[in-house]
Amino acid sequence: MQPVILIIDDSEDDVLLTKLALSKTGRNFRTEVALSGEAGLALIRGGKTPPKLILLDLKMPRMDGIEVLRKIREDESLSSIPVVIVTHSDLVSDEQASDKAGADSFLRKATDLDQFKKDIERILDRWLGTNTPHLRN
Amino acid sequence: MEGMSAVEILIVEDSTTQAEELRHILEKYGYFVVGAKNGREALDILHTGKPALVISDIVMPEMDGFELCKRIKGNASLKEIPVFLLTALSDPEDVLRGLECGADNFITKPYEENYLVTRIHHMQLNAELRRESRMQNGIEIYYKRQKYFITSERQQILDLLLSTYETAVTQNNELKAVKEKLEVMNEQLEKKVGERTAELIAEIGERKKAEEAIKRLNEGLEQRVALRTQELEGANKELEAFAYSVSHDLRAPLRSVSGFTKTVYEDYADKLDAQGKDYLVRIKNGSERMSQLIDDLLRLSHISRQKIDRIDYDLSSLASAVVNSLREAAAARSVEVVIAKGLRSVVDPNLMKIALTNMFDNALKFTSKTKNAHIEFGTAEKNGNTVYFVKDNGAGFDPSYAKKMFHPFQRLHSEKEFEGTGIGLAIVDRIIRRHEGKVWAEGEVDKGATIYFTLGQTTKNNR
Repeated sequence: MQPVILIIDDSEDDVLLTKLALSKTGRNFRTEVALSGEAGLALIRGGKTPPKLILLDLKMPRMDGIEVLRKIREDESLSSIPVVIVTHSDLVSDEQASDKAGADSFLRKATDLDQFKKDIERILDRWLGTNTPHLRN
Repeated sequence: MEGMSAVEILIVEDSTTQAEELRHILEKYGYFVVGAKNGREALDILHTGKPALVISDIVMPEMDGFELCKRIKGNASLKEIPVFLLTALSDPEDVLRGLECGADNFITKPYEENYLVTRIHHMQLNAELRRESRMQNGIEIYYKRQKYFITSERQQILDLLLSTYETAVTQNNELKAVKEKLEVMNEQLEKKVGERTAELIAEIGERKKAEEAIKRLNEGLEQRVALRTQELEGANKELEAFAYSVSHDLRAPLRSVSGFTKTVYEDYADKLDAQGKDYLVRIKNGSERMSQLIDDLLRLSHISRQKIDRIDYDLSSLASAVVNSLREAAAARSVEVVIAKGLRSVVDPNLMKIALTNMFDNALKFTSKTKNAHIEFGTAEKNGNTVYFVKDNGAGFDPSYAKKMFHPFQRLHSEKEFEGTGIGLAIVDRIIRRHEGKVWAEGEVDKGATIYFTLGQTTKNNR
């Protein structure tokens, strides 16, 4: 069973770039995409197995990343899924809010694609390292 | 009255002028006057002939008036002669001494003519009466712990007392007249003072009005200044917020452009001819440049927004740290960097680090083509102020553009010569200004450049 990486981001361009970066790592996984917070939650709850990693954008219309994150963490069955915030924002306040809401990591979307690829590689190494689901403390 | 035409008066007075004055008055009224300079002389004269009256001053050399009077009254052949004493009459003791020595009357100086003459006249009248009654019993009287024994006759006592009383009354009247005059003068003075006070009050009133007007003007001005400052600060904040959001929002699409261009270039290289590849390279470079510019804009606006917190700090070690991290990042190059020891100032360490980084980065960049590159950080005294400088011996610049250098995105070299967007010095300028200081540059083409800056007093923290 391929592990599923769920990308929740309202920008199709950003989704595509993330996919490009992910594929460059050469690892084994399947990606799923939701273009809004609501769609993302529906995908998580609706699926047979939960995703192994969620890459979550912050600034989205209607339900934003923080709200999605909170809802994921409220759900006992989902609370152990690693969630990495992947965002354009460089504000410390956003990083603090994500941390408070229960994010596992905070990644700025680097403008340089090569740099972004390196960052994504690091993320996968950290959160997709083994097949066992990540346990939150 | 008998012997009016032959009435002789003996004047005993040591002051020539006063004696003359008295003589003049008496002779005017038909009296004959004989003069003596003192008591002794008077007694001598009395031995030769008896005047009808003796008028004597009290204070005289050799023998005073009281003594003379005593002598006269003590002398059997002379005691009938009335004696008038000239006195200032300021002391009741004079009265007692006068009575004690047997004086008949007191005359006060200055001489009141009528008064004097009337007295003499009375004396003549009373002299008749006195010859008829005699009283030998004396009266003892105490005054101010002194005992006085008065043997004068009742007539004498009365005469003396009346004369002193008259004198007192006269003096009193004089005093009253003077008092009235004073009162009038006082009224006039008070009136004048009142007028002057009114004038002064009016002046003060005017001045106060003027002061009030100035104060109100000032308050008005201050209000307007405060309002204007508020407006400016508001406008500034808006501008910075705008710059921030614009540059921030530009990043995402820029990322798409640069990211996909790169992807096409890498993944579809085989499908492109040389020209196609060239076009893609230009797109990539353009977007990278745009990205750099936006990053710089964001950095610049961040400097302006940031809270400034100044503390006493070691600038020398800060500079060393900055140079070290720049060296690590830069390619291995032999550059000599000299940092003056012990430089301290009250600065915001974070902002100062950024400023120094930009200055050293500049110096390193512009000495990249220089053999024996040398960079120096130190202080100098200029016009009594401490001036810091970062100096290099690199490519330098045309000094006519010295001011432009500090404008954002203003470059004095082309992209081909040295890379960069021209934001570094604009950032330094903004940081130094937030430290209440000034920054300027001196240099010449190929002869290196020096960036000078001052750090002002801390007026307010967290501005």
